[in-house]
Amino acid sequence: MESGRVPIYALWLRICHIVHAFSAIMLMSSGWAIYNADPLYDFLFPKHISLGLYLTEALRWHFLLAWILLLTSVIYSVSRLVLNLGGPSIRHFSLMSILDTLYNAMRFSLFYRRGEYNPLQRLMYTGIFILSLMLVFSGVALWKPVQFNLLIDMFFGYEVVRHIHFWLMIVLFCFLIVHVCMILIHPSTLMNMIFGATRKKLDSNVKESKP
Amino acid sequence: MTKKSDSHIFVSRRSFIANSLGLACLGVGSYFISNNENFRGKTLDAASRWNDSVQSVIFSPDKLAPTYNLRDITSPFPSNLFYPHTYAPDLDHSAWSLSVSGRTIHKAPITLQELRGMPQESQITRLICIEGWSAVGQWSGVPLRYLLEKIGADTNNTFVRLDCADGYFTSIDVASAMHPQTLLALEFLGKPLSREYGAPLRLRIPTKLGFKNAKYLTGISVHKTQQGGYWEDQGYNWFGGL
Repeated sequence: MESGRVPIYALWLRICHIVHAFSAIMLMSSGWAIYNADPLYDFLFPKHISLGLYLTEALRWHFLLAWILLLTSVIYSVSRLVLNLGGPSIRHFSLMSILDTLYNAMRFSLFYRRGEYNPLQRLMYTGIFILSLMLVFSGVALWKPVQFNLLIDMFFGYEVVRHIHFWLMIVLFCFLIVHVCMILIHPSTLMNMIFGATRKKLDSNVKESKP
Repeated sequence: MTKKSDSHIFVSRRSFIANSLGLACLGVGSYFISNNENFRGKTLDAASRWNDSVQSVIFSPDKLAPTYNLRDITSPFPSNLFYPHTYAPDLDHSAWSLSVSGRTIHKAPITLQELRGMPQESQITRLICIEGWSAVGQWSGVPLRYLLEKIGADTNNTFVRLDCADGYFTSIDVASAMHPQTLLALEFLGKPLSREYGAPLRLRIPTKLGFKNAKYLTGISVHKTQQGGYWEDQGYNWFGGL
């Protein structure tokens, strides 16, 4: 790295991101195969996008990946939500600032500053870490309804948890679609997160990532 | 927000090549794992064994499965055999006995009459299938703990295997076998088990997934080594704890 430049995302965060992305997508896919064994609703997921030819294999994939997602979710939550490390700040968003961002976005005059998130992004990324954790918790509840029956009670019973786990997956899926669309609109963000682009160090009197 | 643009980004050649190589490795690695039958099997097996050990640590011998009221009982209750119902074993109850083998002091087969004479317990609990569905039912029978103590079973880090009249078999860790809610069920909904639900004797273990609740029992044995099972040997997680 050249002197005077800092990476927009730390290396460990970029590794965590790609591992999290891979496991989340494969967890969804194997989850669809598991769903198909006893559908909650009146439809099935197409076989060719469901990971695991049989329920046995789908479950084995799901539990291998669940351990990986648990690890990356913990790293993400601690570093981003609690310590606010590794990349642009996701803290400080108010309702007014989010509405302002939405208004500007609709006028196509959204100002983008490299290495910083706008209030809407801060809200979205805070939300996705919380969603990840809720997916993990509802999954653990389904896995251990006897040992962790408090978790089951928190989610209003075993059968309810199945529906919650399903709908959290739907929300994650929607997030993924929006996330990928935003990358297509701003391909340079792929450089930041995947290829570790660096940016000039900000002036010392401009504190990093505080609006 | 200050309107000062800092749009100049920089990716060094070295960093670009290193990252591309990293991505390529991840891609090729995932492709290899998901397409190589042997490697995939081994990776998934290793994860499943890891899952077994975590579960045996999580398992608490005193933690009771939630119990329900009579009005919560699911009706009709799924029988869920893995073959057509007409093939279900139709056992002669007067000739039936439960064979005892392995690491036990007493090895005499146990008759239905003897089982009925032992202390009985009743429970209304939720049976949870690995497929995802669950159903609340009422089972009564002999606590497995009582029977294991009566036959003088070795309960020091052993495994209890159950064999069935239809060729099905399963095995559980001895800690789960000794759990107070683990029953050798003789009755379902207050009546002797019908042919559909595993007559004359089945295992009812609310701390394990449905496939551990073996029907049409014919033999019980105690072993030093893990014994697998019908579904477990096909890839379902062996511990199968709830």
